[in-house]
Amino acid sequence: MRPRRPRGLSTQAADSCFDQDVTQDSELVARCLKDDPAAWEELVARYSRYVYAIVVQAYRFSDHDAEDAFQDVFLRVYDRLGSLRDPEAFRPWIAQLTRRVCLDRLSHAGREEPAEVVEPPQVEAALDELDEAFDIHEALATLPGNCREILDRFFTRDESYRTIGDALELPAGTIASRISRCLVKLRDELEGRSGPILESGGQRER
Amino acid sequence: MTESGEERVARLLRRLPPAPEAWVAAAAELPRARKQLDDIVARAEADVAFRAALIADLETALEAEGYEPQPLLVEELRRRLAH
Amino acid sequence: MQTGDATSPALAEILDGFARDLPAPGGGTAAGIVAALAAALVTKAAHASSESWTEAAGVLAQASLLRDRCVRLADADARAFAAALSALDGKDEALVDRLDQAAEVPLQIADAAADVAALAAVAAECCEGAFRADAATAAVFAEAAARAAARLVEVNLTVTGGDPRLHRAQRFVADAAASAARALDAGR
Repeated sequence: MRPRRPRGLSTQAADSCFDQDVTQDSELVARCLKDDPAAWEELVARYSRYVYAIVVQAYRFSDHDAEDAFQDVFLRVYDRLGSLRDPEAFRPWIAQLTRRVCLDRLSHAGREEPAEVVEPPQVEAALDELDEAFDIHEALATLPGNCREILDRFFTRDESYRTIGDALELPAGTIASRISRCLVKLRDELEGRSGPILESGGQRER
Repeated sequence: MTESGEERVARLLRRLPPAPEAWVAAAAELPRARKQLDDIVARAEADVAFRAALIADLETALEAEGYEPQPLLVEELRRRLAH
Repeated sequence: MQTGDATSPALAEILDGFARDLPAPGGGTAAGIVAALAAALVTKAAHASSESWTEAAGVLAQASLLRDRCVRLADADARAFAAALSALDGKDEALVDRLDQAAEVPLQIADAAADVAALAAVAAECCEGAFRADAATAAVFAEAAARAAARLVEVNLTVTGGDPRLHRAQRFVADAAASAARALDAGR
């Protein structure tokens, strides 16, 4: 049974980015292998964004193909989880599996016989960024409740200050400043884990 | 223009929006759906008429039994019934 | 765009697009673009203040997202409006849906514009002095975009007197107006 979420936090239970007591992947995998349905749901919730992003951003699948690929990935995860040698390495394993699903679909696309396909050129760089993005979401999970919610709602769920304020019972006029302060906290958390985030060398896109 | 730490963090946060809720829900249901599939196959092996109905029109037969056919599992069911 | 390029060919082409005797791009798209322009001005003010204002980077990150959001909505408005007109001409079975979407997009533009105004007000209060007028200008533009978009929600055929979307649109305008007033006060 999942713990009740404190008031004001998202009830979108499909997304477990917000659990402060983060269960390690290896423990989730072990519980999944014992047919623990809650562990499976947690694993799906934890990696759904990552798989979705790989399929849609790295491989640029259309909505319909992306949905099929997404389900195919988790079906293969479910079927092959027992073959994972190092449960600590679940993330690279699911990434590799997702790449394989996407390439298989590309090789079959519109053909009676599968053809050899070359991986699209943007994939490698996209995967590197998505890996970093996942690290950032992991760090997000360790921030205090409102910061997690505010940053996730604004930057990934496309919600406005008014929507966020209404949901979290905060004045809409304070959201912008809260976002800035929470970004600093997240940056500090990341720097605490892995040293200073680049302030030079990373280029803005505009 | 160089990118600050906060800008980089924000840019990377944006790279992982939530997957559509329906997709996540369907994936979370896989263990239950797989168990259903195993039950259907077992019944098809024991009940000739049921097996025939499944082979004649799989989706219709499943819906008649109250199942909601998920495409990938239907595909797998088709494969298992063919053996 | 360099100083003195205000009448560059790219800009002239955009303006020509709006001047044509065609329904789209129309007021909704223009509102989205104006809100995006306002967000760009906030970005300028924040970037110029990166040494003196601790929240500048956070404001910059938000302005960047809001700019993208407003551009996306500007595009979406042109498509939604074109689809609605086509549905009206062809007695499309999806007419109600198409008209509904034609109201929904300007509502989202009004919401996003209100956010830009709020962010501009923060910038007007805290950014480097030389850029406070730019931030205040951004807030005024964003308010205008919110008002324009709210008007489009009102005139949409599917939105009747008691529709909650009208109330929401009016709330976004009020938010934007309050932010613009705050920004103009800060700039004095």
